[in-house]
Amino acid sequence: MTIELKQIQKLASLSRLEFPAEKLPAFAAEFQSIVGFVDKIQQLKTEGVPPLTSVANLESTPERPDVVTAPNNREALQKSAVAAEMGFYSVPRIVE
Amino acid sequence: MSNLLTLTATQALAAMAKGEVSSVELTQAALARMEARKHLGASLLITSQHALQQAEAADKARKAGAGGPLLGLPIGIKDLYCTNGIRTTAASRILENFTPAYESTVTQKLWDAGAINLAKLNMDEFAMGGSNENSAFGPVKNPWDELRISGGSSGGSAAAVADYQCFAATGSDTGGSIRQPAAMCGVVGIKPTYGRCSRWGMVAFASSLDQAGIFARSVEDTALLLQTIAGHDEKDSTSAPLEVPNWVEELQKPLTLKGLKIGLPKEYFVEGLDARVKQAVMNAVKKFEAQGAEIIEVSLPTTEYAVAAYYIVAPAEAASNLARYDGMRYGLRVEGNGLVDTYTKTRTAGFGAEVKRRIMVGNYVLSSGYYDAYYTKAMQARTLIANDFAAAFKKVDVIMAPTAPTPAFKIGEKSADPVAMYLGDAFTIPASLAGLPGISVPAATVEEGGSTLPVGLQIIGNHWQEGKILQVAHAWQTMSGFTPLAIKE
Repeated sequence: MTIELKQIQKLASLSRLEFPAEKLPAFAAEFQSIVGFVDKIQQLKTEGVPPLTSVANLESTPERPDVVTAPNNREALQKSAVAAEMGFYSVPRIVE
Repeated sequence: MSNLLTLTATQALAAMAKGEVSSVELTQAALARMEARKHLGASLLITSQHALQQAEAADKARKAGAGGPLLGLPIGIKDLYCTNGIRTTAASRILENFTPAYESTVTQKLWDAGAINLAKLNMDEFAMGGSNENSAFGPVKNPWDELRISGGSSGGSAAAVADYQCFAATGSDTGGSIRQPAAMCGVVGIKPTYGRCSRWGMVAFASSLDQAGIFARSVEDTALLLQTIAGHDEKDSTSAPLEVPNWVEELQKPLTLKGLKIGLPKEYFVEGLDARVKQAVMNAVKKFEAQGAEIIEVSLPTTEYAVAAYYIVAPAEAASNLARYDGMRYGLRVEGNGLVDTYTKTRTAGFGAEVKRRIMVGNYVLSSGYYDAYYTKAMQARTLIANDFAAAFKKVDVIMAPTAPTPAFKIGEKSADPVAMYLGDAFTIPASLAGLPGISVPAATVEEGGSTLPVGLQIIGNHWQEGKILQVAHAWQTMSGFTPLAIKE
């Protein structure tokens, strides 16, 4: 299956990634070779086979009790913030 | 100084217990070596001050008669375990300045047991790679031959342990990222059953595959550290509510090899497998046979589709997991013209080539119209692969196979061909897709281009049978003695 450059550009845009025009053909060739490789899966007979939902091989996984435990660690977490003001994350303006 | 560092973790702990050496002395020796051997690229951040403080506290605790099973032992941590107050990058530019405000469960258990954090170790960016050439901060050189790869994605961990920079290290395995670099650097590496360890606080790559594990220079050390990090964690509902056996104690009882049923999967001994690797594995198998083990050929017929299935499932989960890196709350932000442009510029600048490839492939296979043809199909393939193993384990106790098809190749040799690189994980991926435990132990060394290079023997067990594969690995260690790398000054 050949994947059009336009389709790759759309996928990049949805992935929030940019490929400069001069590098796009090389990326497209790599992408095509990977998709071509994984396409091998189409040859596998899977009629009636359920998709795997858990590899843990356990009947159930336990849920923890729903109790409030989180300490107020806003200050510690915001030490790694790109930009924070008055305890809020500062982000680019989205409403004019 | 260096002699201390060639001790195994078990020996170092015993020496500290007898008062022959202190944790501060061991830590200073390890830190000095890590600094002196920085050119290998194994470490991303050496936490000297923190390590020495921990070591002093460990020595005090020992004098007071307190402390856990790893008291004073200097180790390294793959840089995808979040460490509270210590930079954690996952070897990505997008997390270059990220300092977590919390500790991963696995590392917390290690510190609770008394271990010392020497350094955060290099890896392929977000654990995506099999050669450690995808780190944003440079490749890891193999200590056996510095022109060659260390393997990946936990290449820094494997190289640091092989090079005597630390006594053990954590790793993580998604499709072979512990076993394969362990094989290429000539050390022991175990990936336990999916669910054996908590993933809480580990930077996520592919959540249905990611699992924590251990590198060390002996099977006893591997068992000791694994039993420390294993166990259910209420913060990770996929961690199993099962008791963790005392694997160290189990190793003290000798395994009766007579009657042990070893399966050899015929699909693993095929074209593409280096003849010397095959011979090394078969020599090991023959030694087990000579001790009374029964060698049984088994078939895992879906093996040929495993790499394709993996490179659908793992990128799909990665594309979803990495959507969180948007430059808003933490990590890199590159300002653009508005919100979407800022997202795009941030991600374009922050992710490396392989990460971008996988995000794109992941979003492609998950996109409308392709989802069933790729993702659902790959998950059906996983069922078949798991069924193949289940059938095999009705006949055998463990499966033996090569860990990687070749010894370590030269840095740059496969960089231009992602698919060729992906095939390097062909023997580790199937067990990962089925969630099974696997261990790689040094099988032998081979000569290539004037270099001596290690080759790994992989032992795969049924779910929750870490004890069995550790025992078999231990039997092999006793029989072969391993061939450790001579310490280089």
